Amino acid sequence: MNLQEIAFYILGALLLITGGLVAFRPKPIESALWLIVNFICTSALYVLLGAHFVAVIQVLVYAGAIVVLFTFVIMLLNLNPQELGLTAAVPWTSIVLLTGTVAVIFLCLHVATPDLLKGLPVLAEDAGGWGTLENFSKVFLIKYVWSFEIAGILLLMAVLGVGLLAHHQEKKAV
Amino acid sequence: MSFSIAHILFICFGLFVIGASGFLIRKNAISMLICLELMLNAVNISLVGFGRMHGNEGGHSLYFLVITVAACETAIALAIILNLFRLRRSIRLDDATVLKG
Repeated sequence: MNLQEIAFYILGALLLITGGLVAFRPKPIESALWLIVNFICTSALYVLLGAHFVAVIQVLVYAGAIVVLFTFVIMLLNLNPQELGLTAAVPWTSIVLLTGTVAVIFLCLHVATPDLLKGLPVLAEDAGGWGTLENFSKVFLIKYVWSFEIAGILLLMAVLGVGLLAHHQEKKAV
Repeated sequence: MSFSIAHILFICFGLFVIGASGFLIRKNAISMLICLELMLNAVNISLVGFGRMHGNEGGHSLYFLVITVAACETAIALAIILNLFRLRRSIRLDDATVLKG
């Protein structure tokens, strides 16, 4: 077991643990803060895979912009436990049902394909030039330029929509 | 490096299941949105992993489209949640029964 493999397993465990904390901590602010840790672990996984540019974008956009938006709204609303629904009983039955379903899915997969992990391709030792900014830009801006354009239009529509919603809210408050 | 695409897909599946279960179990809208981000993030991991498997940058392009969609969705959904809070003084989705008629 070499160093990369150990790092991969530690990162995987951290990702799953922080993912669980994000999903099941009762307060939204704790979820949002654990989400930052989760995104940084994801970014480390991308570095391990060799996708350095994606790792930078992950920290910049997700941990830097989206989580800040979440924390901003959570602190703006400043909800008490009653409004958060923390007083309601925790639905243990649904948690047990869900865990059972996932376990059954894993069992079925294991029974159906015992060598599930063996037949799949092992990733190459060296990523080479894969994932560098130069290669990524060539592919992204030449071959998949329409996806770039569509993303731009989507962002424009989102800005218009959010502006419309916020404006409407202001009119109602007056 | 001796781990295969299956290891990455396993992590992706685990994160997606955690996100989906959180989405189904949680009651308030912001926590559900955070779980949605977790699910999108899990899919992103699989996209970059598949890109690495095939050795091309197509997965990265799709990754960028997904984070654009995630950012748009977060912004619009948080604006809707703010409006909902003004209307109902609560962000529990059980109270959001305006569309029920």
